[in-house]
Amino acid sequence: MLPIYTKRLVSTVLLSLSVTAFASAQSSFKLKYENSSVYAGIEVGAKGVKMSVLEIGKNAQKNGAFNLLKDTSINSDFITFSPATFQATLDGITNLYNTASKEYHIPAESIFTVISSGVKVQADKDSKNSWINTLIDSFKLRISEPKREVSVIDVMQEARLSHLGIVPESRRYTTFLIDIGSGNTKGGFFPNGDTKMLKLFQLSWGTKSTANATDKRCDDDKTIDNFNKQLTRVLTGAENSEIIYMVNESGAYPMSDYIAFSGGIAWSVATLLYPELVGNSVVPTTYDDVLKFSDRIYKNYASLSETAITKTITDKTLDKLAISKEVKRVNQVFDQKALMAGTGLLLKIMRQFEGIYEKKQFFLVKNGQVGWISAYVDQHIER
Amino acid sequence: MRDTKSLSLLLLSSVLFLLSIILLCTWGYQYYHQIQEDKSKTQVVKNAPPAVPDGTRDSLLKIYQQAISSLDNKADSASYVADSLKGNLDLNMKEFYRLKDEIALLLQAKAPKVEDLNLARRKITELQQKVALLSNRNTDVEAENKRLHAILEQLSKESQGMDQNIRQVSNENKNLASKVNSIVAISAANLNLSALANDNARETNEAKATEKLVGSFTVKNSGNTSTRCDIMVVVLQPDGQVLQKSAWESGTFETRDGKKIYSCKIRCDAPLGEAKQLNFSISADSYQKGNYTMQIYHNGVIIGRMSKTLS
Repeated sequence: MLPIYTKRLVSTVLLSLSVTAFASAQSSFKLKYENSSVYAGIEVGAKGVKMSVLEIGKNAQKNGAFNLLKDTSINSDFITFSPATFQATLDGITNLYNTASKEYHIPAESIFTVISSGVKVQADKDSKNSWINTLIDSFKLRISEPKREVSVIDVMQEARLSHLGIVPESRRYTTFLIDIGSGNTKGGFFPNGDTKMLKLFQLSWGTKSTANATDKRCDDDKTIDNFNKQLTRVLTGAENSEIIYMVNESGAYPMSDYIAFSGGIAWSVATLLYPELVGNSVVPTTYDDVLKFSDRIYKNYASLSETAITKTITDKTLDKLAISKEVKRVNQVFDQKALMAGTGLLLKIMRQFEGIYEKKQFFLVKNGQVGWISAYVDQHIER
Repeated sequence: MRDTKSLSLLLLSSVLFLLSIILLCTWGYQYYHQIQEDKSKTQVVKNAPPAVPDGTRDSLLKIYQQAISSLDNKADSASYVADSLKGNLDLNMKEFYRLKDEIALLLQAKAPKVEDLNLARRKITELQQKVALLSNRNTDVEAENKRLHAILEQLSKESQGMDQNIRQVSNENKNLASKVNSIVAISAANLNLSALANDNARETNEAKATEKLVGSFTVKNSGNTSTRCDIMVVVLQPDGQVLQKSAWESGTFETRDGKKIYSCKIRCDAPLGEAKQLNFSISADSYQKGNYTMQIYHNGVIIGRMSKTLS
């Protein structure tokens, strides 16, 4: 008899503990969806360790219903593969794991840990894969979880997961997702009506590389007029030498009705151009709207300050404080020249899909950086 | 006798010889004296002061050069800009160049006479007057040129402004025409907004039981041509916020009252004279109790409105 009571008691205690932990995690954040759950994805990237705390709704796959609750990162520069950066990365991943577990009360099975494609590519190049294995083993030892799964993701998997995490099911096979990063642009689409094979798309141009190339051409004349003149030349060169060819080669035009852009510049343009939709993770846009916006950055940059933008909000139901905060964040991350370079690159890619007779619907994705981790989490959730 | 004759002959020849020597000496002296005199005369001429001092000649040359150089640029620009006054200017310029050449010629002489230098001085004064005259003329021409330039600029601006106005008016006309046409052309009727319960089939009026909102309406094109149009559906919740179908299906659009958020956008073909039924549905995690308002917009203008209350 006693063992049966003991078993029941132990299982009751465990159940109540897990329920308490779950409820505690739920109550730590302001949730957007009903019947949703909170998860944490910890990613060791090339530059540092990043943790995204996500709320994933019951219709995440169907509607792309995920909500970013917290986004934290620690710089550790793991890809230099030195003892110091190794230690910093190990400390970073352990600390973030402990924060998710102890501070946010997210249960261990809801915390996912991965090594990103950026690290894997560099480790393959430098023959440093043993460093990744050592890091994983040391981390498991530190958190005393020898059975913890720490997956190493490759470029294709990351692009595929990004698509799955960002684009809703209803638009999965008709959407071409393009991530404009700082140093390059990558993305893809599913051409065969299944999610196994992603047609990868890559460009060697990103927001920062475009701005740098332009800056280099400016020589001593650092005025905005000269920057604009040189940017036109840089972008024309990029368009003629790479963008036109790569878009044609991808075969995305006839296969896609929707073109979605993610990355820092997509977030910036979406926030500054459509401040009313501050709460939306995705906003629809048009080529003409972005073209006018590009002109506005150059000719009337002052109109993009948080004060100027909040002044234009007339709808009293909108959260002006949230809008002001987000616009300020954009202006802290991107200055006028970076905005001009990124928007210029965005326009050049958009132009490839702006047909005279057939117009594609464009979207700007704001939380693209957590797209792939959300898909990873979503795929690993036991439903 | 013979001796006497010879003696007298000898005496005569001696006298003659003596006379000839005296004569030669006199000539020699005179010749020498003449040479000495010539030499001293030449030296006197050589050492004699010039008719005009060098300083005067140099200063004249300096004044002349200054006059020339001061005019050089002005004369060039004057001849370049003064199209309307070219005839007069050419004449003045010819006169100026003539004077310049004459003075140069006078000042180039190795040993100019006082009269020549006086003449050069007069001509330089004349040249200076011409330079002053040309300079004044140049200033007048420049001022005139500036005035004309300003008038041209003003005219150009006015014409640009007129062009812009024409374009703006033309665009506004087009927009207004299309708006008026579309307002008249597309109309909405038979508006319906209902709430469906959890089983997706039963209609309900209870906010708690509502699973989704379903709306329908018919649009009719009574314009002149068949058209393709975007209809914006705005569903306002009781708290005044727009109920969005999803981030991928909601967005913003322009109205006369500024930017608005739409719940969903429906793209439809509107054949001429034909009524077409359009449907939409919006699912939310939860529904508030109160009044829901459905608004139908086309081209930023409201073409239909209805309300539904959930208790």
